[in-house]
Amino acid sequence: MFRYIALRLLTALPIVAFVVVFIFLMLHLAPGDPAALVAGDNATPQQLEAIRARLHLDRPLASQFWLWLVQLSQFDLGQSIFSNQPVAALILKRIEPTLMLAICTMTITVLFAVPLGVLAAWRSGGGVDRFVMGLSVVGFSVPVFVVAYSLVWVFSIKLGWLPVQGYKPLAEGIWECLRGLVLPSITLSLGLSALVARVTRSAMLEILSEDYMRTARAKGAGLMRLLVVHALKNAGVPVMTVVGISFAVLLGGVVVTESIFTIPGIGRLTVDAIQQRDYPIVQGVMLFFSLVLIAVNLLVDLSYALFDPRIRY
Amino acid sequence: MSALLHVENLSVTFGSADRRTHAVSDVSFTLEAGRTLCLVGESGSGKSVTSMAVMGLLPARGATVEARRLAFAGEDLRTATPARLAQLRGKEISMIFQDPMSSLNPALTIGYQIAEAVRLHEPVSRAEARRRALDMLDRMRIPDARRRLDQYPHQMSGGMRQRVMIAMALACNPKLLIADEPTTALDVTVQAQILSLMDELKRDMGMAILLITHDLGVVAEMADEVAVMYAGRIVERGPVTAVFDRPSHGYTHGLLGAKPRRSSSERLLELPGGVPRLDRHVETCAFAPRCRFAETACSQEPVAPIAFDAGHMGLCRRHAAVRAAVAMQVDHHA
Repeated sequence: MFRYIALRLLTALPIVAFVVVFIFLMLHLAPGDPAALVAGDNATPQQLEAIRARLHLDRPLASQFWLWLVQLSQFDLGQSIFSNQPVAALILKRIEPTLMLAICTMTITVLFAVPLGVLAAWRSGGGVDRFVMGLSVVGFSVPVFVVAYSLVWVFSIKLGWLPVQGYKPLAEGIWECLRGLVLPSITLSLGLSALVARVTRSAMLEILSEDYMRTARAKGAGLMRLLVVHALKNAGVPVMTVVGISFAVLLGGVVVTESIFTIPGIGRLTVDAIQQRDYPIVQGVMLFFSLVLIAVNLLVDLSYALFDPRIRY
Repeated sequence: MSALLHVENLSVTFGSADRRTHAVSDVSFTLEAGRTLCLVGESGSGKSVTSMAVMGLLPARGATVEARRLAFAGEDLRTATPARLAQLRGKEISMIFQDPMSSLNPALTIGYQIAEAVRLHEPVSRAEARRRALDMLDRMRIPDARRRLDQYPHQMSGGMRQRVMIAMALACNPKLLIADEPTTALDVTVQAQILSLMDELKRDMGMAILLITHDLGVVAEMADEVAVMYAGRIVERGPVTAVFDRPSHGYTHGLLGAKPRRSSSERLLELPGGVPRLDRHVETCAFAPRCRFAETACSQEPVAPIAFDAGHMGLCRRHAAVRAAVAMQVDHHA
């Protein structure tokens, strides 16, 4: 297995290299003077000169790239053009809210959608099945902000159970932190639940008609044992795949939800940076997200062995 | 002695009123402890459906099971609750299936699957169940059983997997074993091993076997009694020697004629035509269109069960002609 992990990390190297080159060229691929692009429309020639010097734009492309690589190897993603803070530190600060939101969302999604998918498959065509169908229509077609504001209106304004917005860091207590995450997590998990429930349902539907399910019934196994022990474990691979991908997407930041609930996560960092043309931050976030995606994919692939013993690494 | 399994006028239909399939019609038989009954017939003749109905494994939605009597050890299976049926299944009545490749759960170890059968029905500890599983594998003559316990189905051959299936089915010493084509998917040599193993276990444990097969060689080897099924009905039933020596139904005659004989240089007899559709309930002989003995009345008038000699019965108005033909063949060979 360690051999497999090493091999996978090795094959990820070209991808990382490609991402690094692409991100580096991003500044130079855009038409016009990169420095002007960075500085904006109203920059003075002095400002332009300063930016060129700081971003080493006055040097040849190859040596610029080399400098950027040396920087990266020291985990230095450069500095924000506007706040002058190191990009790595800025991203690091935003990881906690994003990670917490992603974990809460996935927990709710899995706890809600997997049993739902199992029941929908067990009684396909029945009430739960139709509910899952309805949920997918709602989950995929109703915009996030509609769901979010509806939830806020009911649970925060009318009932006053939960905060309207804002994020309390973990350091201020886990319950306070979780209270603030309930509504954004539910908002996000609506669409994801529809996806996970449908994947679970279709995997289970196939499994329930397998010969080994008949064997389990012939043994005298009860319904719960049939569904959970005999069927669900076999559905692990497809379910884990969609859960993993969803998790990675959440880690990339969810802009609308973060904005509505004023959660200082990666998504808002990215959007703000793009609006302010803060290229070093955009580059840093892109690099961060591609690394997260590679890592999550590897973890998902490794998890397959837990569900299907025929898979060995 | 009262029968262990008592089936009287069992009928199974699939589908709704407008599109009904009569998979099994008016099937009756009894099976006593320690005996083997073979259900023989072509694919689609209703053998498997009959056994699934006994096990209560047919889907509640879609299948309609009717019977004047369906009793196991005196207990009415028609009125048993799902919970009671689950108690019986695996404990009193066990089943093994045709395809050992797909009948074991690929995600669970062999040891878990056998121990589960024990733990579902007996209040034993995990360790005790595992010991029992090991014991069963030993009895199935699986070499290196201890290591096998922690293996998964995909790590074993087809023959080994069928042994595991049998070990699982017999883990609670059932009174009745239903085996649905247990050797069809296996090599001939493995087939013989599995059959002799089953026969041996039957004698040791005194259980009854309901063996479903289309292989007349298997029937000759294993059966005490035979029931020949055609188009959802038992067309002939009786002790194996009576049915093999004095077949009394056109279909049985054809079936036996389709079996290759070592000494014979004759052509294999083939049965013309195919199994009829089962969308209508028919009272006449369903085999008449394919039968070389058929006369006009066969496909016009209802056919009723006729008793020949001790325990031997059939659904054939031309049984005399069939027997005469068999007698002539025997003379011819002599």
